[in-house]
Amino acid sequence: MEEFLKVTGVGKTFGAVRALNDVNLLASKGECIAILGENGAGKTTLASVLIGLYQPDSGQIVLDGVQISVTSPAAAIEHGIGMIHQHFSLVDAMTAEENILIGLPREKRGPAARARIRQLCDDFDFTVDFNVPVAKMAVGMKQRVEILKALFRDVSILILDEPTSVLAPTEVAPFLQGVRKLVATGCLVFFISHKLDEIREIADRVMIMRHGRVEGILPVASTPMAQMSALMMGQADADQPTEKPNTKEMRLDTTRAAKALVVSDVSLTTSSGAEILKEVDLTLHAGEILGIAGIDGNGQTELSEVITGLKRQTSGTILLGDKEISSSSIAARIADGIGFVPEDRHAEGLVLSLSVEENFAFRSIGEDKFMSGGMISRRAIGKIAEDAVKAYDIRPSNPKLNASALSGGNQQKIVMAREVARARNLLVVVQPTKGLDVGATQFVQDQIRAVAQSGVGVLYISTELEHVLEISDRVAVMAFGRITGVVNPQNTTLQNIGLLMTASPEEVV
Amino acid sequence: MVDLVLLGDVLAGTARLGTPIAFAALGGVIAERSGLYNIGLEGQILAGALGAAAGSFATGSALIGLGCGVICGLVSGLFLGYMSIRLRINQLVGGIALNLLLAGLTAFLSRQIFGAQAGGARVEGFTQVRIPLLSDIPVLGPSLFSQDPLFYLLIGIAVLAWYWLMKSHKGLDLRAVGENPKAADLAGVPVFRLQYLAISISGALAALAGAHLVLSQVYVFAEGMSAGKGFIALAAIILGRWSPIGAVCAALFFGFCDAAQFKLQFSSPEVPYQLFLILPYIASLIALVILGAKASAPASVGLPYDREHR
Repeated sequence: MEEFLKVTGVGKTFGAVRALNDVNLLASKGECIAILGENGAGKTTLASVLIGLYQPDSGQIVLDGVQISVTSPAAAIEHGIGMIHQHFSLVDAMTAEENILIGLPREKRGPAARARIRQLCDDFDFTVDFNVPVAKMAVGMKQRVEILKALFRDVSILILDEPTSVLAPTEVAPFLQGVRKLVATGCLVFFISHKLDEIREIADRVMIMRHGRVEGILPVASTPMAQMSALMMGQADADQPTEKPNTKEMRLDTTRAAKALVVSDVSLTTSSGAEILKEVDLTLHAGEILGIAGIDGNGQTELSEVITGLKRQTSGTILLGDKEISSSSIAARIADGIGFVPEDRHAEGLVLSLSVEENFAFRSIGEDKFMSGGMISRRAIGKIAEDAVKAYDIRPSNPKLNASALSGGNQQKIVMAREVARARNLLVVVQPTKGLDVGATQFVQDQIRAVAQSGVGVLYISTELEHVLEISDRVAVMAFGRITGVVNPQNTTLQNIGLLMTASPEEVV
Repeated sequence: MVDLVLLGDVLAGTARLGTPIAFAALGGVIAERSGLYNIGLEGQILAGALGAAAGSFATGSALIGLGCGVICGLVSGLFLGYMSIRLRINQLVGGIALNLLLAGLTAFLSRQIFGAQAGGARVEGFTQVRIPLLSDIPVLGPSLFSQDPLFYLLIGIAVLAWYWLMKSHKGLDLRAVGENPKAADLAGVPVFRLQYLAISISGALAALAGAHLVLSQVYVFAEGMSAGKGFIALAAIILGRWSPIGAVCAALFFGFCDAAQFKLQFSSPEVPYQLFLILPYIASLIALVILGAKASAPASVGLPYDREHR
C-alpha cells in the first residue's frame, strides 16, 4: 500500500478532557475509511485537527512524504484537505456560487469558475439551485453545495462528518453514489458515521475510536459487524447480548388507559398564509408511546411546539388529560407535567454557557426543592445534578463543567434527564437520537420506554423511521401538515408507511 | 422665488451637516459587515478632529492635517480591533470604553498642543471648490457643486466602498466573515486579517468625519465637538440597511432634517426653538420604525470568533 497520509502520535486536550490520545493512522489515495465511535470518542476532534481548526498538543501529520503543519483551515485547503461538517458551514444569506467562491484566490474566481461549477454539478449528477440563497435550500441541496465547495478546491482528502444524518431516506443513496465517484477519482475520503450498514456499503476500511484512542483499523469486508460494535463499545460491553427483549409485546394494551393528550382539529397558519398544520387529530393514552413519522419539515416540529405552548395554534383544542390547555402559557403547561425534549438541543434545550447542574435546574428554579430560605440552594441543585449524572452516566461526570464542554450525546442526556423528571403526564420528544451513537441511542430509548412504563404518555417525533417503528405502540404519519394515517408498527409494511409519508396534499384531502 | 433660495440653503446645509455623519456611518457599515460592532465611532471622530487640527496647526497645511487625522483614526481602529478580535472582549463595552478614553485623551492633548489657545487656535482648512458648469445649475449648483473637497471625497469613497464590499472578491470574503466567520474560515478566508483591515478602515473613515468638522466647518478643535454624530451614524447604518450607499443616504437624510430645523427656527421665531430641535430625532425615529423594521444585520455581528470554540 502506497501511503499518502500518515498521522503519528496526535494528542489533543480540552481542559480536563482528553479528546485525542496517541492517534496513529496510515491511509492511501482512492480509499474510503469510515471512522466509527461513540459520541465523544474523538472522531470530530481528529477531523478538526486535520483541517486546522484545532491545533494538536502533540504528534505529526505527514502528507505524501512531507511533514506538514496545518495551522489554519486555509493551510488545510492549500494541502488539499477539506471537510464537510455535520451542521454545514455555509453562509446562509449567500447563494451557492458565492459560497463556493469565498476565500479563493482571485485567479480562481474568474468567469471560468462559473462554468467549472456547472461542470462539477454535471459530473456528479448534482441538482443545485443557483438562484436562491442557501437559507432557502433543503438540507440535501445544502450538502451538495458543501461538496461542490470542497471539489472546487481540488481536495485530495475529504472528511465527511455524519453526512447522512441530516438527509431524508431518499437522498442517502444518491449521496453515497457521489461519494463513490469521488473515491474513484483518487480522493481519500474519511466517512464519520454511526450507521454500520452505511459503513458496510461505502467504506474500504473502518477505523474504530474509543475515548480518544484508535481501537483498530480493519478491512470492512472481512470484519463482522458484531466485532466493530464490540470494539466501539469497549470489550467489557461486548459480552452482553445484542438481542434485546421486545418490550412492546410485554407492555399492556394501553388503548384502554386514560387519555393523556387529545389534540383535536388543530391547524396552524403562518402570518404569510402558509398552512403548517391542517386539522390535526391525535389521541395519546397514558403509558403509550405514539410515534410521529414523516419526512423532515412536514409539520412535526410545529406540532410539538403547539403542544408545548411555544407556538399558538390558529384553531383547534388541546386537552391534557381532562384539562384544556389550548391557550395555557408555557409555564402553566410545565406545571401541568409536560416534559419537552426539543429538536435543537443546543439552541432550545440547553444554555451551553451554564454549568451542567445549572442546566438541570434552570427550568425549575423557584420550585421548593431548589430553594432554601428564599435563595437558590446550590447544594440542592448540586445534589440533583449529581444523581442525574450518575443515573444517566453523563461524562465527564463533573456537574460543575459548562454544558458546552460535553459531547453531543452527553448534552442530550442532560436534556433527557431533566425533562423526564418533569414529565408527569406527557413527554414530547423530537429527534431524540439525532446524531447519537448506537450506545447513546439505546440508552435514550430505554429511558423513554421506562417513562412510558410509569404511565406517562410519550409523543415520539422523529424522522428516523426505524427508531420510530422500534419504540412506538402506534405510529402516526405526517405529510404536508396533516396526519395521513395511524398504523400499528407490528403489522404494517415500510412500503405502506412510505406511501403515507409521501402522500400528496391532494390525495390527503 | 423665495422658496427656491430656501431650498438651496437647506440642500447646502444638508451636505455640510450630513457629511461627517455619512463618513462615520460608512466606517460603521464596513466594520459591521466584517462582524465587528464599532461603537467607538464617536470617540474616533474626536481623534480624527484632533489629529487634523494638530497636523494643520503644526504645518499650516490642511492636507497634512487630513493625513494626521486619518492616521489617528487608523490607530484607534486597530486598538479597538485588538480588543474585539484578539482579546474577544464584549464589543459594546469595548466601544464605549474607547469613546470615554478618546473623549478624555483628546481634551487633554488639545491643551498640550494648543496651550493657552486651546479652543481658539484657528487652523488652516479647506475652501469650497466650485465644479465648473455643474455649479452653474440653479439651486442645485450653488448648494451641491460648490462644496468643500471632503464632500466630493465622501461621494467618491461611498461609491468605492459599495463596489469593494458588494462587487469585489475581498468584499465577498468580508461579508462572509460577518455572516458566518467559521464558514469563511473553513473556506480559507483569512478571517482575522480581514477583520483588522475592516476595523482600521472603519476608524479612518470616522476620523474623516472629525477632519471634516475641523477643516471644513469650524477651523478649530473643540472638546466634545463630535456632539453625538457617532451615535447618529449608528442609526444611519441600520436605516441604510448595512449598505454603503444606503448609509450615506440615511446620513444625508439626518443632515437634511438638521438643516431644515435650523431654517424653521429662524423663520418661526414665535415657536419655542426646542420644538424644532426635536424634529431631526423624531424624523429619524419614524424612519427607523418604517424602514428599519425589515432590515437584518450581518448574522454574526458582535459575536467574537474563536476557532477552537466547541
